[in-house]
Amino acid sequence: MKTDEILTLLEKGLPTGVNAEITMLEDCRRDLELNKNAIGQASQVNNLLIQVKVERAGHVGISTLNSLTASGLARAVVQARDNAKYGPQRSLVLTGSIGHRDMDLVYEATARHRPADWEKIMEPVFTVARQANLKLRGLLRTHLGRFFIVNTDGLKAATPAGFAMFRGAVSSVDGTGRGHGYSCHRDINQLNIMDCFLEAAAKCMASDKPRPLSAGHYTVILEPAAVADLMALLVKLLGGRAYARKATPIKLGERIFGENISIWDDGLDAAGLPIPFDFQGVPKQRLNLVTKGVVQNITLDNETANSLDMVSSGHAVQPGSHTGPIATHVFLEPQNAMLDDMIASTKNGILVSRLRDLTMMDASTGFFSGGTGDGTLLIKDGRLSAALPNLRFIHNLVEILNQTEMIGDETRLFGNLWGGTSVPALKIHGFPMLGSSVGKV
Amino acid sequence: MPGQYFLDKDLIRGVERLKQLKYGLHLASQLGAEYADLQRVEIDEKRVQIISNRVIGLNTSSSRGISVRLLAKGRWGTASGPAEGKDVVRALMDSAWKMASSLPELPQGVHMGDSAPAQGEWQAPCAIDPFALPDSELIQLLKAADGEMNIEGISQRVSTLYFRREKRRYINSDGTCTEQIFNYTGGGLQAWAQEQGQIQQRSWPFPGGSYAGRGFEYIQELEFPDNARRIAREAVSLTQAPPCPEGVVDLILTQGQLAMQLQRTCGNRAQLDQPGCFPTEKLGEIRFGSPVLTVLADATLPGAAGSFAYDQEGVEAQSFALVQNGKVVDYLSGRQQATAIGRNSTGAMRSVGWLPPSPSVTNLVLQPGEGSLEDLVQGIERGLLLDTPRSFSIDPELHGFVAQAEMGWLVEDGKISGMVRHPIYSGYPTAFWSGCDAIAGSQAQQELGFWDQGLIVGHRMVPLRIRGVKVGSFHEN
Repeated sequence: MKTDEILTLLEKGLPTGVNAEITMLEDCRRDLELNKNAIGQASQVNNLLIQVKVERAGHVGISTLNSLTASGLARAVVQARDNAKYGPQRSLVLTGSIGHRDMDLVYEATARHRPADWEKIMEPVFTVARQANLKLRGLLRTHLGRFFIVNTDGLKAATPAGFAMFRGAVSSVDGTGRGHGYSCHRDINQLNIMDCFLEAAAKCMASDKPRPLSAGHYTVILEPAAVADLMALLVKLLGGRAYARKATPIKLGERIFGENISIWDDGLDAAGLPIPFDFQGVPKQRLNLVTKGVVQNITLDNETANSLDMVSSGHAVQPGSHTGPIATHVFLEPQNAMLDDMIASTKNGILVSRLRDLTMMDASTGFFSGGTGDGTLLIKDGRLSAALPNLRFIHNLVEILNQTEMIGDETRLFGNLWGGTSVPALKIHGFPMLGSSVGKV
Repeated sequence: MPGQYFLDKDLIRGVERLKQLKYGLHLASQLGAEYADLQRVEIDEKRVQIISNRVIGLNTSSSRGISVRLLAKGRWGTASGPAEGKDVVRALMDSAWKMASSLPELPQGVHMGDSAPAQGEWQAPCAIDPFALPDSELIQLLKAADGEMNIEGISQRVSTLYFRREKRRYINSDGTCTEQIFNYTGGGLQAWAQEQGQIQQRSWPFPGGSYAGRGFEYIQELEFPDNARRIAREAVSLTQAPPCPEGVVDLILTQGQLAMQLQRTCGNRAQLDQPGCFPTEKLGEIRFGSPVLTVLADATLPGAAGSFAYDQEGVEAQSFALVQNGKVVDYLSGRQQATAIGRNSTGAMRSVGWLPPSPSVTNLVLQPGEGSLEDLVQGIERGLLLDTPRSFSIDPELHGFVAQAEMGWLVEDGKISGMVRHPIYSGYPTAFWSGCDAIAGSQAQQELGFWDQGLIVGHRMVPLRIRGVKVGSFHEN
């Protein structure tokens, strides 16, 4: 159905005489799995989620369904009304009909991409991988979606979005060397698949035949992919829900991080993966989260803002998500250090490609555990000197951003259909690593 | 009779939906697919949550979807989407066919092995239908538990109920046609105590709740009021407890902690053809741990969270050993994965919603030993008893792990001597499980269910003892 037709149908479904909001999220994801230098399974997943929120006598009821018909909507409204009887006691805060910036978020090449094109794109990469005696496995994805919102305050808005992504893990024949490559863009023609592969292949060859490392504190250089993994944890601590529940070390207006750390969220910046408004229809804008180490703002949606007597910052997340409002268009300010300079200035340290399996252990203090992956290298006297196995650690997010001594000059983008994180590399001192043996045990 | 009318209407709908799936098979055959299967899934959910005496959520959700898989020139093509109807089936089949047939032909093809066509219906037990209970009753139950947790020192109390009903109809081109109804019922309590900048949490029966494959009777078995009082007191006590000491000591893992440990180091690694799977060479010689360990995958346990009659390839549910006397002896597999290593499917294909299936954990059962929890404690000179997982991270390749429990008890000279906070332990699975020297008897058995990789998995666990594990406290790390 056309966008206008859907908006009209949703609008007609709104109940009268009560506050109500209907949102609809529709998407189609096409994945091509890559396995052992060959094209593997192809899959397509379509999704549709309609969420109805109704306020009744000071209580809010929510129901969801996944088919768009007038009768289905009517049933969902009745169900939401019923749920409101014993539902949360609060008012349903609605976004008024305020303007937002029109954006062209769907590229023709991404929208028209067909499975038959995949082989043409991937074969040159597979050829190089075979010649180098390396194995590539990964994923090539195109993702198209549309988001719609109508409410009884007169808001009626929709936005489409398109996204393309390549993710590849390169391994050596014996499986000990690893490298990782990633590229994403709204335009599939902008993916640098060969460059990503070559970068991953170089890391894989350098990380072959790892040697064990004893436990201790090391200077660690986190490449941008690893920093993006850290940011995924940080945005939860900067979220309004964690703040309201005091489940975060963040304190508004206080210097929590090092002076060299500035982080903001900007859903309108074309350098990221912009969208015009959040999932409650609040227009996107730039929001400074951390400036020179001082926490400036937290991210809010209509509910958390209302409970904290503040105003939404435009960070409502997708219907069905349980994270609460979080930053989804994150930028960490780059500085002037080249990665080579970071390595050259390190006497005894570790170069980390990615962080994996990060798990928050205590949100109130910022302690988390995790490990390194896809290529971890030892640095001795300013040079990459040996391969290391994946290392595990327990560390504190606040401490990491206080012990950052150099920040890279080049950012990389990581993301999905509705947002992204743009970050440089970081050099951090005093990073505690647990010891690691080598091989599968 | 109105009831009769609805019954007939359901029957008619059922026949119509089966026709839609058969229509899909017909299309696949016309297109030239070597194999095809379709599943149609209906999911109804209800979640009720109270935080500190306030209803935070009373949400219902209803969704329907179809997925198709087909083989063309040795290539899989899969497509899935919401809604139903012949048009949707045709569109999905068309997408799957285009994707599979546009890829280069795979010379070795895909082999599904032999599987006898299954025909049958199955329904999970459900003595008390949770969807039929009035909201007021559910809220009253949670508020009562919330009230029990409302003691001095507790800063936040969370009580949750979750119900899910899945109707799954599956059909494939080998002649299989099954219909199953799954009833998932779950709930849990959590008490948070906050003092001097630290937050301590205690959960019952599992963080995020525990789930079973039966009706509301499971919630009654969880005895919310008594356990609410206990975990609240424990959370407050934890804020006063000393940090867990560092060192290498003996451990006792109680059921919840053990369930998480086994899920991540055994269940997930037994999923054939998934990243991190146990190697497929020398099956039966791969050491998992000490000879006292035997772990079953049992999809036939009545009322358990991971039970069914047929998996999502129509293969009958099975009960078999994954680990026998400390050695890996089998995998969680589907037809294609098992055939590729010369074995038969172990009937472990499960689907997240209506997405295509993959080998998954069903119910893990730790074979009980002898004696009680007290007997395990008496055999420890210096050690820890750890209860309820708080976090668990594991390396997907080398499988080194760091685990954190909500609460620890010091064990000294065969006796429990006091509580410790923030206990963590770390290790590598084979070395860790090789330290297992005793498992409690079946009288200590507890059933749990929790979400893993988008599915609810079941566990039947008894406490066990592990010698020589590195422990500590992350705040002091």
